[in-house]
Amino acid sequence: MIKRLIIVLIFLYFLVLFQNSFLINFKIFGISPNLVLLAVILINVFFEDSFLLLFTALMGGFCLDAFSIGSSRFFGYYIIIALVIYFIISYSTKYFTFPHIRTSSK
Amino acid sequence: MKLNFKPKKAILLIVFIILIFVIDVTNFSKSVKNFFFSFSSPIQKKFVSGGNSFFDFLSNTFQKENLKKELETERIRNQELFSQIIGLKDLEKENQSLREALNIGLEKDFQLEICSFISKNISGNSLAIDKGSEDGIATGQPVITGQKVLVGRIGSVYNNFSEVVLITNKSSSFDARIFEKEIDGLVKGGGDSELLFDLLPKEEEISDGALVVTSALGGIFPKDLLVGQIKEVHKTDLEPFQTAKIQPSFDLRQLENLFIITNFKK
Repeated sequence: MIKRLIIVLIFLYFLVLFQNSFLINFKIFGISPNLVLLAVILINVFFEDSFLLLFTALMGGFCLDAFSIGSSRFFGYYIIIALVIYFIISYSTKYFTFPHIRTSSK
Repeated sequence: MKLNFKPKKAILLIVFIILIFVIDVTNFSKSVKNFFFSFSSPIQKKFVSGGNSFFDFLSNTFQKENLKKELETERIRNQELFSQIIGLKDLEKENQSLREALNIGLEKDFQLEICSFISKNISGNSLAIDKGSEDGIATGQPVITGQKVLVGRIGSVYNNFSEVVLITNKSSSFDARIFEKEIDGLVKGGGDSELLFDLLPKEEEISDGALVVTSALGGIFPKDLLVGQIKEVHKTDLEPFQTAKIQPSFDLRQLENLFIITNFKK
């Protein structure tokens, strides 16, 4: 379990660095995609361990907050967004199942 | 909506809520961000240069035709510049002899601090650089490239890094003028990579490609820093002023080293 959490943490840390430093010129239809939030969504959809999913949402939001510059947004802004994503996916998986990937609801 | 909350999950959530609350209330967020940026800046520098090379390669591969046309235009412009250089050489000689005659020493207009660009904010037009308050950086200081092209000004300052608010940021506005024409106006950031030149007198004739430089009117930036080139002029009978779009002269792909003007004459 701890091994998984560490892997997720390292993955999210490098993903936020990759997004903010490597992909600065990368845009899809003029929009810079937020890869970390995308990863939070995908992990929440395709994995089952509910503690891991909450941890991913919280750490994904934390990494985005820690690496966002300027004072226009309060610390915790991205954590709230990631938590909302987590709760929406948790709620919706009670009604929509992903049979090949997800075997049980949280 | 029923959510099955196990104690482990509840503890994790509560710990995070308390953590965010403490960070925001005690204004500890600056220290947290400073720690993460200081710790990661060597990796970020590698990513920035790697990303720039990668996207240069991609754009070169996919835009060969455009590059050919651009090369042709640049060749013509180069020839024009050569003739201007010859004229300027004569002026330089004249200037030098005048300086000697009047015994005027060359004075530095401003003091510079070199810095590296380490990341770009995903949600806005701002950059992070690897110099902060410990290096004497303060809010509002102008940031330029090695070619005296204006990039932006310092926004938030942390111990070891700072935020650079780009001139293309929507919150940015400053006085500028059209080079050699003395037409003054207000440059506003349009978000993304756009700049709008507003409040230009209607009676003035402005051509595409004209150079826009900063003016010392607002006291925000030193005068004669290159902002960009006029791209499109809008003039209607309904508006009291004419406006123009500016193509900024800086390119994020070429911004690895920047200079912060720590002191300049207003």
